[in-house]
Amino acid sequence: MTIAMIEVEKLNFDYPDKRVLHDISFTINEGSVTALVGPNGAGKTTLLRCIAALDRAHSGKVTIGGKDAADFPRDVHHMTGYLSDFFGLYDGLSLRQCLTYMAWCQKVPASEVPKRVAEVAEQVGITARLEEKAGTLSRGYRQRLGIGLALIHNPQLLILDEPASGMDPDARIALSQMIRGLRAQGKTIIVSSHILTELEDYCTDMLVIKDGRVAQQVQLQEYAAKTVRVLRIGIANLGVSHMDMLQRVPNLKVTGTENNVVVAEFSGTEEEQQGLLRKLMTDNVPVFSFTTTQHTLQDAYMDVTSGRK
Amino acid sequence: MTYFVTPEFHRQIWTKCPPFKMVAAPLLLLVMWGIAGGDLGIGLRMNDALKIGIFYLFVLVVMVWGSYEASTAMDEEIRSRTWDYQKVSAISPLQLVFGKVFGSTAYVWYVGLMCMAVYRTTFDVPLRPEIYAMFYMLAAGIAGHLVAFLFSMSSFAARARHGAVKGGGAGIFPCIAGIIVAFYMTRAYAMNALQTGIPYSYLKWYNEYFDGLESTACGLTFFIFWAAVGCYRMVRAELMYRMWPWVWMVFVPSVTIAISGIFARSPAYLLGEFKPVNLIPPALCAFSVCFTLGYATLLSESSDRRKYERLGASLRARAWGRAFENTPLWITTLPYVVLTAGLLVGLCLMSQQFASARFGPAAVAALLFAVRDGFAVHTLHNTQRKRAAFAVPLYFVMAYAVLPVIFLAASGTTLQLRRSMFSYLELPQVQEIFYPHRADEWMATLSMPLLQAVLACFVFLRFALKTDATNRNAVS
Repeated sequence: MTIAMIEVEKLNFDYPDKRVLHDISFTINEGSVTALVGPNGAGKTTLLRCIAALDRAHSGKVTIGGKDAADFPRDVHHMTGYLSDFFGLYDGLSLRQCLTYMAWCQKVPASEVPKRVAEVAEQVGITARLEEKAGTLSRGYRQRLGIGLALIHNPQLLILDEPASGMDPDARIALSQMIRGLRAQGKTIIVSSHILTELEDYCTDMLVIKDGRVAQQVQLQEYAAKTVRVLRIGIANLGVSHMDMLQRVPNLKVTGTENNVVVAEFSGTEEEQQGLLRKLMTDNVPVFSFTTTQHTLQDAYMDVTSGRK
Repeated sequence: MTYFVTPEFHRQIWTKCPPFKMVAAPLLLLVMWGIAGGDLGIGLRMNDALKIGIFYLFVLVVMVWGSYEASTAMDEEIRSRTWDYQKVSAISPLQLVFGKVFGSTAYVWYVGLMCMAVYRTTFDVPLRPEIYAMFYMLAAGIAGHLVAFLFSMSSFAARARHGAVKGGGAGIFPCIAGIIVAFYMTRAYAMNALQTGIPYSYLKWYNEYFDGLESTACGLTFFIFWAAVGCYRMVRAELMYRMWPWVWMVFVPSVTIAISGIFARSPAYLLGEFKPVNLIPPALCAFSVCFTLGYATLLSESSDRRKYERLGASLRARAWGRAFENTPLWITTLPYVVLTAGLLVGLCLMSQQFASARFGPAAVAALLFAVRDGFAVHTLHNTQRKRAAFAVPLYFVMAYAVLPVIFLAASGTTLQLRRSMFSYLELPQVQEIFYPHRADEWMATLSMPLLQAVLACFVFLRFALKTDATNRNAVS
């Protein structure tokens, strides 16, 4: 049974001269990792701030873990770990002091503070640098410390706004691993990012925002199952008889050929796909390759933004 | 592992009080102390020089440096983009205010209190005024820091209303406000007490006599209390708590009652003739306080379109609690303004024998001019959104300076500067048109402001609301 962690109903948000969120409604389930994507200026950061009860919407309702964000903002704050897109650090303090200070602010029991600081430092990979000043850290380590500060009180909901921006490849891999680890712990995570290939590593859902409106909410596993797969079947000495045979296969639509490779869209199940391969083998078709092109998060995003879906 | 006082205070101690600074200050004072017995050879003993120097060092450190630190405490968070961490944390508003105001000034107080201790040993006024003088100096410093922090918070809130919160930069104004308050209190109370032994011999408040030292201390405590409450409320609002304007509705009458008491006069016999009680001055004072607070909030909130829209949405949804939360402060001040105005007018009508009865028409005229200005600034904010920052001051310059001068020039009348309790420009024939005017004739005094208020209301309804609806449709 899925439990809603975030429920947003008819949310509208105005800046003094324009409305940036228009009647936004969606639900995010507990334990999911949602990629919040959309073009620049679509309203992603504003939406995240409303969810984190950091900004008050003009109208509409945001409920986090059953608590109305307008009525119980501090309860929502306590449930939430938030890393903003352009976050800062207390550069004059050591990493240990930064984490300790945030643990105090988040009312972590005094006796547990050192233990919790050590745990979080381990989790985000900054244990060896705990005595260094935050101001001396590289971009990647600053990001790690930022996430550590958001995690210090073990929140149920983690909101990360562009966490991978400016990170080097190693740091990005570490971030992916960390988010997968948090997902395994059952945390609900929303990640806003432009780097769709990275989001693919750990996201279960995608929420597309365009012009301040929800363009689409996609459950990625379902999307992958529902959408057609592109098969590339390499056949030695490809001839008309082979093409005739493939045309007769149910759920298979040949879209073209490239040298001796047939490109086709297949809308059957995985079992039916296996059956197709077996049939090709038993019919002695000289298959030298049989590959499936996976639909990526990028495809899903493009489907939504281009209106294909 | 636990924190000292509050988490924010502890963090400020980490940041502001590194060990070398903690050692440097007492060393410097020790050197000054060590040479205090010397003679400068210019007729001024070193001890006297130290006495003066240490006092001004205290003033410089606590008043100037402290106000600067308090005014930038919030700005640092915004500038370094760490405010969201605090905002989303579980820290309470009280902990945050205490940590920011007293934490950011912790080193300042460390030096200041040492200065005070040195000063204490070189000063020889009687103990009682000295204790009060020390209290006044502490209170002046705390009041200055609270005011600096309060102004920086309110500047931050104003910028947030206009969607500009990321850059920081509250400017120098909050710091200057803090310094002015701290300097004024030090000069008016502490220095007076130190030099003469008493700031005022007595205070007459609601016809009762109070000891000068004690009443001054009470007054300062009253000021500090409300400044601290103001800081607390500002931070509470920033931390997204639901804010009903109850505190403001208590603040307005409490300040009104406190100040009006000074103007209350008792019945008196003068040269054997009974002089009846004149209640007009305290009523006028009460009206002035309420009116000033109402007018100030009206102007400051006129640009917050979102608050009005939220109020409208709450009323339409019959969410009364939410509507009360979004009610602008000037609306909650309005009952007090109307009440005190009614009281003043009633007293003026009943007590025609007093010269001050002429303030009745002036008070009503001031209300009507405020109504006119309220409609005007709301119209400008709705119709000239991008140019409102320029258009609103221009309106006031036109309404209160340029148009009267043009009118005056056209009528061929010369200006007369009259000296009275308040100096003001006497503008015969035209002053009823542009300013609240003390007069006996109610109709003559009120007709022009009433006409202007009605006209401003018409313009607001005709243009501002229409433009607002058009803009909302456009952005939607």
